[in-house]
Amino acid sequence: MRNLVIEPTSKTPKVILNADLGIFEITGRSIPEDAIGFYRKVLDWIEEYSKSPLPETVFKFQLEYFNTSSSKCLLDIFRKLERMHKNGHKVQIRWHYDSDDEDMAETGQDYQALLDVPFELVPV
Amino acid sequence: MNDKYFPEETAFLEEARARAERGGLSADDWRSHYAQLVENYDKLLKVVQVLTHQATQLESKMEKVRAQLELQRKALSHEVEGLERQIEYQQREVHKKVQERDDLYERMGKTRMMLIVLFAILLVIVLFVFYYIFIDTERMIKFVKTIRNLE
Repeated sequence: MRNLVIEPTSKTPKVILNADLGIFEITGRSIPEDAIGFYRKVLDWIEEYSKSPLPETVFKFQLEYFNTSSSKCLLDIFRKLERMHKNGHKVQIRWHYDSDDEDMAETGQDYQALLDVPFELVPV
Repeated sequence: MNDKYFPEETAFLEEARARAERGGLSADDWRSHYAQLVENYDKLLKVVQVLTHQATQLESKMEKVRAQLELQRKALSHEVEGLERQIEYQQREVHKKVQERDDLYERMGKTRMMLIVLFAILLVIVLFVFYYIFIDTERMIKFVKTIRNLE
């Protein structure tokens, strides 16, 4: 399966989806005007990956700031990972956040409460 | 507003509407569809709650940033006013100094002219004396005698 790497910009995060190395990361800032357009590729990639995933998938999210439409797209990603988990695959979401950023911690807790998938909050 | 952010939910709603219009469902089918609708509504409500909470947090952050920017704008405006006053004062001072310099140059010019005139007069006198003493001595002697006779 082809890896997906998107370099960061001032408005979009860095995306590394590498099934060969087992790296699944979205890091940085996410405030694109067309969040759906940006995350479409990510969602499609995960959809494809979920057909034959690795024995264990640890997905790292480390976002410093994101807009509401990005939040909806993140939820869509989480839902796909949740579906993988429900289908019997080992999936873990790691929500990294700045230990000084209470809002980001709270956001992680919101997602955690909403999802039925292992979701770890990791202060950094 | 479009349905690009909630395509699954929009599709589900359209299907539910179509099913309701078609009718002809058994009580069990209605119950099953209704249960599905409630479950999806529950999911959607939770998503809306999360998004609303996050949007409120973002607005709150933006409001804090806006307030900070407003404070900085006021501080900068105050600084600019102070600098403008200082520039005005400096300009007045420079104008005053230039005026003083111009006055000084004018006075120096007058003094120089006076000195030149005085020097010219002195030179004429010296040349006059030099001429009568060393060149036209006889006339000098006559002149001295004339003065003595007058006495």
